[in-house]
Amino acid sequence: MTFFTIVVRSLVRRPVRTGLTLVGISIGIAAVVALVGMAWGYEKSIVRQLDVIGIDVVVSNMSGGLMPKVFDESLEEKIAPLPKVAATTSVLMQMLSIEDAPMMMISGREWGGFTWDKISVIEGRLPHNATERAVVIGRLAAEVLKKKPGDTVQIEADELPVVGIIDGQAVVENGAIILSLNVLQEITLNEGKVNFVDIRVTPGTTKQEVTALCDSIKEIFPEGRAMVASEVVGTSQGFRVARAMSWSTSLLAIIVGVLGVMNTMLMTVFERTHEIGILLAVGWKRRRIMLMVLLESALLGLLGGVLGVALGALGLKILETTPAIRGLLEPDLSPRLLLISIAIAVVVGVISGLYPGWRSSRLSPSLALHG
Amino acid sequence: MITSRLRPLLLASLLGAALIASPVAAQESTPSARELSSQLAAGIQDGASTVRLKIEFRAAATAPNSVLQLAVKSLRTEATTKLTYQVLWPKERKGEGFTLNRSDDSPVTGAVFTPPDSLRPLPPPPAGWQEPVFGSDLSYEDLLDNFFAWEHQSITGTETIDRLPCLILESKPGKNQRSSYSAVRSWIDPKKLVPMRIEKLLASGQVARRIVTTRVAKDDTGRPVASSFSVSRPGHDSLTELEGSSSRHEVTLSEADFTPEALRSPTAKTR
Repeated sequence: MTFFTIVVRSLVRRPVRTGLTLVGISIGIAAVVALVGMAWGYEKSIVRQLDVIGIDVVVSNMSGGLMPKVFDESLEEKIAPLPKVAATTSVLMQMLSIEDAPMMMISGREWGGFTWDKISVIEGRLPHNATERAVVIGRLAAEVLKKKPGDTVQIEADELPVVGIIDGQAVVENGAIILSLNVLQEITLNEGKVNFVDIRVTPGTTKQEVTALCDSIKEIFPEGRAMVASEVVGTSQGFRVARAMSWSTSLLAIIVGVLGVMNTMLMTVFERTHEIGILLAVGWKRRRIMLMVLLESALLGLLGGVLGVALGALGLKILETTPAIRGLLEPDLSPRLLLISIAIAVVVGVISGLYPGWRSSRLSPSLALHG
Repeated sequence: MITSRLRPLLLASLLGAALIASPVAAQESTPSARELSSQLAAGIQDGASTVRLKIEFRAAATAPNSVLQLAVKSLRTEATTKLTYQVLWPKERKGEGFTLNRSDDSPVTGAVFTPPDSLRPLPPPPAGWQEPVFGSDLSYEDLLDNFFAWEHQSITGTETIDRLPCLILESKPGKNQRSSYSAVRSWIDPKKLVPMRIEKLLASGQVARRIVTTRVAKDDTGRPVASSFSVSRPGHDSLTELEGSSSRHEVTLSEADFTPEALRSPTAKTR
């Protein structure tokens, strides 16, 4: 009988208890996969959106509430002549509850700006010009709102025709309603106001030159901030909160998992006092006894981790299709997340086994043999 | 004497107790009831504003949900409260609305408009203002009242709601303050000055309405506000959920915005 067989046998000997412990760990790991997967997915989607559109620098005033504060659209004219700026375009973004759907992104884009370039129309058409009071809807938003070209959608007090369904190649774009900047400004009573200026820099611009550009914008627009697009996610308060929330909730689930495994391993050690006594009497070193317990709990962690990853992935797939979430989230189920989750489970197993392992290694062979 | 077997259990219990007690221990100096209620009342009496609101309600557990998108105009000062609510969506109810007016020196007035041209004055209190708003669990009185400005305010305890340590503020109307509620208990997050739960009590002590904040967000002025909340009436199956999607304080509203005639132009915008 090998050392590993002894480890496996002791787990198999109590199938119900081992099974229940596995369920406990796997639920904890499933929570990690689901929560962190959602947070990472949203971040990735934003980065992809900026990448797809070709935005290099984003200018906004993030001191507002849900959305950045509006500012005068003339800022774009001041930014455009700055060195290394290849193109600029203004956007007014609003989060509004539309009809009976939850909050949705409404994106008013400057007509002719590069943010319209990468939109591909699946059905219908784009608005004809800057003044056409019409919208195109991302394919996910169209599903949520149950709209098709020819229908109307109500934004604030205005009813606008839907002229097209689009694919923006990122979940944020696909979950949004997009229209001309002038029309959204008029509907939301924000004439002359925007809350983003998106910038494309000239090809070959170095990182230092982009930083210098951001500094120049800061001088023109001291109350706002110019950020390199790839850094928007990292510095956004909302993303940081989402990340912190997902990890802190996961941590709670992990703590519950640690306590569960520790309880199981302690019970195992107490039940096997006699067996451990024999092993010590036949010459097993204390370190080997401790290693046996640690390996058992690590194995529990590994199995629970694999089961948890499967559960979490399944849960995310189900969540993705629920009406409240559909179109808003594109969870990240990357191998990196799955491996991290399994690694966490194994670490949870090892940590949980430390105290029971130490207890078992401290047993006196004579006392253990006498029960 | 503590045995070695009991020691970890004791440590775990102490750790647990410390975790449970920490929110209360972390709480800074408690404001007086008067200070707290004055700050909350001032937050409500914030002048002219417009709000976009989604209201979703069901009359019974098995009944289908009704959803309305509303445009709200309000003018709230210490002496005056004026409100206009108008339905923007769905199409079949677009234009329905009401106005409510209350000031220190005149009785409460109001009117309810149903398109195309039915304009009905709201019966005077108490009958009129206990009518449900658009069939939901809220009454006109709930919209109009600022119980934080009532005469009697007291802090009756603390309780943690959604991991937030809250102060329980009890408000009771004074002799000259008319209300169908005998008291209102509010669970206030003292850091953000946001009520996380409100219970409105009848003279019998029974809870008539329970309002629970489900989301707190910053408004256009950067102030934290309850942006989503649910309203229930204990003993009833009905449930109303409200979700605010935008608010604007830099607006100009006139007396005309709160007259029954204003209800006849449902899409009039406010700057």
